Amino acid sequence: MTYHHRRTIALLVCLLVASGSFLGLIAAEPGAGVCERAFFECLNDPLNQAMGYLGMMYCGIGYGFCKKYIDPA
Amino acid sequence: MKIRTLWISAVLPAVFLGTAFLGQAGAAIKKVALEEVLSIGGLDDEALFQWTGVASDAEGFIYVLDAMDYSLKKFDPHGKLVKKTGRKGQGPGEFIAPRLLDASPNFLYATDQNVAGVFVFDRELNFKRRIPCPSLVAYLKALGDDAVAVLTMGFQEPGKILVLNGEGKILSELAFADKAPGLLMDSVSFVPDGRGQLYLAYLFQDRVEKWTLDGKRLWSKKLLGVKKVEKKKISSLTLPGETCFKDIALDGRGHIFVLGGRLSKSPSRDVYVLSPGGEHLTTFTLPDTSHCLYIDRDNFLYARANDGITLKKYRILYD
Repeated sequence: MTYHHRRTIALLVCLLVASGSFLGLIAAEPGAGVCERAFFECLNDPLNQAMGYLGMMYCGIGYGFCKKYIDPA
Repeated sequence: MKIRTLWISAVLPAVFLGTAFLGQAGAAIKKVALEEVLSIGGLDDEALFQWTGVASDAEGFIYVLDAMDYSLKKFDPHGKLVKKTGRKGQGPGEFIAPRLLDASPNFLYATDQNVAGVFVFDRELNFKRRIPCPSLVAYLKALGDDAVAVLTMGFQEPGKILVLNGEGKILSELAFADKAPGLLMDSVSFVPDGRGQLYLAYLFQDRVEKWTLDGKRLWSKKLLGVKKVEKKKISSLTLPGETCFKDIALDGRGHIFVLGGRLSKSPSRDVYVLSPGGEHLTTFTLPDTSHCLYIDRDNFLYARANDGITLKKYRILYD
């Protein structure tokens, strides 16, 4: 993984956190990628849980964007 | 005599016209190459931080959504930044997570991942209005100054492509997805051909398709030889884990350009070129990985470099 890849992932994570939905990256399961971990955290975010269906939708669209943007990193 | 007359009066003109038409739309090509003509943003400047969406206008101005500084930027045809708008927030013209961008002759359409709607700006980057949408927008294409097509997806209902007017009224609805596609399996990018038909490329399925706007599938193609995309379980949900096709665009000759995802030979770099009938003509490889593929009205192709810090503009060379 190059410096630019690491920088991109770091920037994306910052962006996702700043967007108020992906609150940090804690492993969902061993071996999970960055998008899977972000999705897991998004689903477990109390704000998104309170939004119910819309919160899940937001997490799903975020996951799709993450897969498009940084996978493969 | 009658047969000869028929040949001269009907068949030969038909062959001639057909050949002439093919010369304009979807002519057979053997090879596609790219020649870089412009590069915007780099590691040593602050033009772009992490661009997500790109569009251009008839005068050659280039518009870019930049997720890292929550902005919409306008560059002149030489790549010089001429205007910038937007900041972090939820007010008019502000962004939390800017994502998709497209342009009609007079307006720019932009999305925010958090917002169920489409932001409309004029070409001077003045915020004009928000087109309300029944759901979050997962993909978008401008159809004109008063119409935009959006992809809406649900966890409980299959994805749909809606055509909205400037007030958010649904003008038409394309239910392209299977009845129970599975979570995110109906994620597509799409491009209209300007004649009431759409090309779709699936993010998590090995499928490229052509549809009429009134709901008829004209053809469906597999390009990767993938039967099923690997899935991962996260919490109680099962998600597709590997991408097939990341974006789709049409060139000025009617060819379909499809950007391959992780399952391509060169992930996020391979571009499959198809005829309007779905025949795979050739594949070429972008110099760098990209999430996005955009072709402007002058047939220049735009893609990402340096993981989103740089936008590259290429001339398309055909052989």
